[in-house]
Amino acid sequence: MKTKVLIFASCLLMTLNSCISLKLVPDYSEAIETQIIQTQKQNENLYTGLLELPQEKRTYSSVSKEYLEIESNINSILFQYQSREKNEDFVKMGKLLKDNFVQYKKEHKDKKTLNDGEISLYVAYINGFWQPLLTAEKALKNIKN
Amino acid sequence: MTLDINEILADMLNAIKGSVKDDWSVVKKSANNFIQSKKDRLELLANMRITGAIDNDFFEKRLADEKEILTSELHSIAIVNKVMAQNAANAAFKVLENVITTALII
Repeated sequence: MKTKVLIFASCLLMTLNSCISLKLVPDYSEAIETQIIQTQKQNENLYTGLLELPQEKRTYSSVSKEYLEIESNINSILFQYQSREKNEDFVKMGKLLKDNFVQYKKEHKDKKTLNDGEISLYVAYINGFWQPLLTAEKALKNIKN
Repeated sequence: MTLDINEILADMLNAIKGSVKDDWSVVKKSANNFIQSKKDRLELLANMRITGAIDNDFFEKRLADEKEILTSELHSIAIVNKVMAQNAANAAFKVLENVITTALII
């Protein structure tokens, strides 16, 4: 009888350990945080690099390679978001960043060149989309197990 | 188009506060960082329009982007909030687990 009680108690404890925990957010990823920081920096460098050039040389084709590299990194971040559980908020933020990055790229392509004011605003606005991603990933560091 | 930055910021702050209700104190730091960035961005946008560095079409597009940035910020704040809720719930479950473990041992 005592053995049966002990087996039952052990099973109950194992069930409690595995079932009674709530998961609302994905686990923190140092790799994603690093990639966010590096790609945001790359994105800002793209624009600040353009400021160094005379306005007539600030063409889309002069930085198309950088645009593609950044877009590829954003896709990678989005892919990693989509691959983890409890990802709804992260995927939405990632898509907003991607859509707006692509929009700014298209505007540059259409405009042929950018003036100082437009470049400063592209930096400010694309960073507006990067900031929530970094804040959210850093918040995951506060998860207590 | 006139741009009342303080009014926009107050509306956005209320939107953030409304989305988190009682958990404002938890997300206050993140929200304030977002609002400060928004203030700097809107001041830059207004300044560039006033000085003629950007045309009205560019101005309107970036102003529309503020709505999407706010959406992203609200998702970010939701995550900060969920982390706190998850921690609180799991701490409570841990207490329950300990009570049951103790009772079973006794």
